[in-house]
Amino acid sequence: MRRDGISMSRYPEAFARSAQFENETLGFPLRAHPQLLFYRKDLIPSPPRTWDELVTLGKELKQSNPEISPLALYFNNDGNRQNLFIWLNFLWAAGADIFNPDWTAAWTSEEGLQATADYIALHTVHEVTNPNSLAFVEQDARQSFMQGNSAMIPVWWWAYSGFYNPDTSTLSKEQVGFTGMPSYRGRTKTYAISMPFSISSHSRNQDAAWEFLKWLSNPDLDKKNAVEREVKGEPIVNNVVTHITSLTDPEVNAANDGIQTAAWDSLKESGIMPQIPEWPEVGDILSAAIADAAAGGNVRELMLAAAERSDRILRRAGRIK
Amino acid sequence: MRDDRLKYLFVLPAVAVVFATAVWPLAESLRLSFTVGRLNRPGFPQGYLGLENYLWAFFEEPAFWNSVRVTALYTFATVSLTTLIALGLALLLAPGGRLRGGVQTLLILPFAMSPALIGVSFRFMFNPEFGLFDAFFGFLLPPLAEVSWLADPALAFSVCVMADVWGWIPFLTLVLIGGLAAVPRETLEAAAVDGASGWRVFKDITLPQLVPVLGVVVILKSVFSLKTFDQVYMLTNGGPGTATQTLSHYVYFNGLKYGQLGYSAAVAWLMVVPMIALTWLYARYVFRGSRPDS
Amino acid sequence: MNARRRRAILETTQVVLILASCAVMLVPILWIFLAAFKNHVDVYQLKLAFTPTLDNFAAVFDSPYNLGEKLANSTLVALTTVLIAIPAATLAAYSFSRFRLRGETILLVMILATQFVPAVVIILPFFVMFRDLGLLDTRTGLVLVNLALVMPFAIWMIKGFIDGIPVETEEAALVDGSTRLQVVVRIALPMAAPGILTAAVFCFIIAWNEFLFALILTGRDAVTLPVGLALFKAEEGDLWNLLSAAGIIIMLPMFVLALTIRRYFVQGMTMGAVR
Repeated sequence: MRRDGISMSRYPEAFARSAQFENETLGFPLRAHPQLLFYRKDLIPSPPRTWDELVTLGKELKQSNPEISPLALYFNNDGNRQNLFIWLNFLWAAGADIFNPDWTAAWTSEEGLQATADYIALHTVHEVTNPNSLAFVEQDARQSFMQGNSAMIPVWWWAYSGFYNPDTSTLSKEQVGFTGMPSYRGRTKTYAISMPFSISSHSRNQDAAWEFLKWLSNPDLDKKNAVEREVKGEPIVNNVVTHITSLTDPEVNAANDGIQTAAWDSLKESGIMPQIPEWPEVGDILSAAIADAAAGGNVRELMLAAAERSDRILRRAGRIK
Repeated sequence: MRDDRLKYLFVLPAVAVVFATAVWPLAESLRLSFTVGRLNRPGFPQGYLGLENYLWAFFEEPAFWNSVRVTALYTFATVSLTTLIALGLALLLAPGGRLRGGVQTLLILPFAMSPALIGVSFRFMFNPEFGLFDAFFGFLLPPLAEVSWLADPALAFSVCVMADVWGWIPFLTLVLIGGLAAVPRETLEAAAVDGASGWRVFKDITLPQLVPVLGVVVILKSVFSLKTFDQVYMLTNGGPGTATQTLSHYVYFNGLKYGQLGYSAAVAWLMVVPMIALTWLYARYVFRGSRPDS
Repeated sequence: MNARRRRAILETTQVVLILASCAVMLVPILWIFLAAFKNHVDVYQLKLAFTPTLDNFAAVFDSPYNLGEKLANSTLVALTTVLIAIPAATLAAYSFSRFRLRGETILLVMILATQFVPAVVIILPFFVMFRDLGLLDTRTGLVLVNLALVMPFAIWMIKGFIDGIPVETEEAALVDGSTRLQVVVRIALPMAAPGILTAAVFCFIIAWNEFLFALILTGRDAVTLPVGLALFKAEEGDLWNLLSAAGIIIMLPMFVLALTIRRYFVQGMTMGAVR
């Protein structure tokens, strides 16, 4: 990489880190996503900036537009740990984290438990969520937004074009607005995800693969993909870029209603999930606890039990010394 | 070639395949169950642990016991429901004729359907916003209209049971119709002439005759219920929480998703134990009468 | 008169019950059929009136789904499995049916038992072995593990059919000087043909519908149809119209196959799986 003058600093930090493992870069984040809050412009004149505002707005919306749910969330643990995506916003903004430096569970701090309780309360106490949010995975929530059954949804930025595509959605472009994720306790920290592309150590043709990857990941192509609206006569809409240069590029922003600027904002304070081999197991335990809590379980008890299991698993794996 | 050599030669290829594809992996799984066996670390299977994996399952993993409970409940519910409904349907359809014969043919369709696809189709039907069954139950029982079936632990479990029962009824019904055909007509007619009520005829004549077939059916269905994976994976993927996580699903996740192959092999072997008991019972049914000398 | 009326009521009740259970059996299948012909927006509504479209079928065979590849994989894997399993199983079944072998009961019970073993137990060592041998994500690997599912079943089923064929013809031919092989080829096989065909169809259906093995062992190249369903749970959400179109492609051939042998179906079930 150094030979070709490529630095990972061309990517936002969360994207770069997600392509690294134990401080070594393993690939390029070719497709990567920050979170944004999408909302119905026709129903919500000014989008909420904090989760508190969102709750107030949601309650008003339920009065004025009873046929539509204010917020589509996704609490279902469908194996992809999607119900942690928004939880992490709360957790991180509260100053808590998933793990302590020694890999013991950190979500059991008072801030962490309070943040979790507040996240669950959107559904169980404030009831500003779509009642089906318990059953929803992220896809269902998006579907609910597109079918006009929910007025807001916090989700990945790439969903934007689908939200007003007449083939998939009942909404028009004028109805769909986006803004940064709401803040919690005066702070916003979002979760970012990326799909790194890398070269297998079993690859027979490492050099050719490297050249291809270089081409595939070069900033110009990144930009072109987000500006072009037609490939071989097929219309195509894509707003996903991964380079800082593309995120801040006026031309890219002009072609995509400025969504990249909002995304770059979202990415400035963002984190990724832990990158240890045991994470899928611990993440699934957390995901199940969140699902159970949203279904009416005791948040504190569930999160403490999850922490106990996580610690035991990581001790058995030798991660916790 | 003489028969006494030929007869062994005939069974050789098939028995070799069974050994290579079923007996060997069974033994190898047992061996792996005593190892660390972490797929995501170098040096697999990283040495022997003795019984540690089994002890971990028994004493340190509430999720294991949760899966045992789910699987046991699931097996009980699906076996009893499927058998009862199939028995009723078999009695309805056994007399034959154009309508009943036609329906018997139709029963073959769900049987030929892939369990994974059944899972998908039930998830579709119980979608809270556009599911057909969801809307249907909501129409039938208005309190259920607002319910998200797949989000509620108990209801999601019942949807899994429904999908399983739906998929298995045809098979059991057809087998039971076969069993009913073996009940001698004359006995039934004689009883009817004697003025015995339909229920009495069923209880005193038909049912006793059906017991062997019913036994086989119950054992067989139990085996398949204990192994359930496909539908659950596609329908709820074990959720919400872990409300529908069967043992097979638990083994799959621990072994292949979390890379703990040694541990999952131990749990898988714990599943083999009830299977051995069921095989023994089943073998007794199968060999009874047909081979008095063996 | 009264008795006749009671009879009529009873029959009507029965017919109603039969039709109701028919509806329960068929509605999930019909719903998939309908959804497969709906366009994307209509699927997400409970609509019965819609303009049917064939776009979904075109879409599933097109990139990025390329269901054609999965279809080819499923067909090749199931066919190869059957072509290996059925001849071997037929020979073994004949031998088990006609001769007394040393350790016969133990062997038969063992074969039966392997059919009861949870598939997850079998797949764990195979996963490790295939990983080391580079057989992951290959059709060869899939055929190998599918044999574990199909073979015990085929042996028992075909044995059941051969048990039901009287031995006298064979004995007479042997007395007349035919060799055992001639007897097997000229007499036993033709008489057992419907049974063997039924077993072959059953095994094909089992291999075709197999999910767990393919889920674990394949990733991209050797993906079969049932696992391919997961493709439609993509970034864009559950694409129910495409899922349904793929569902039809999975189930329709099996329906046709199963219906062609329906005469032997119940007999086959009671013999192979249940005896």
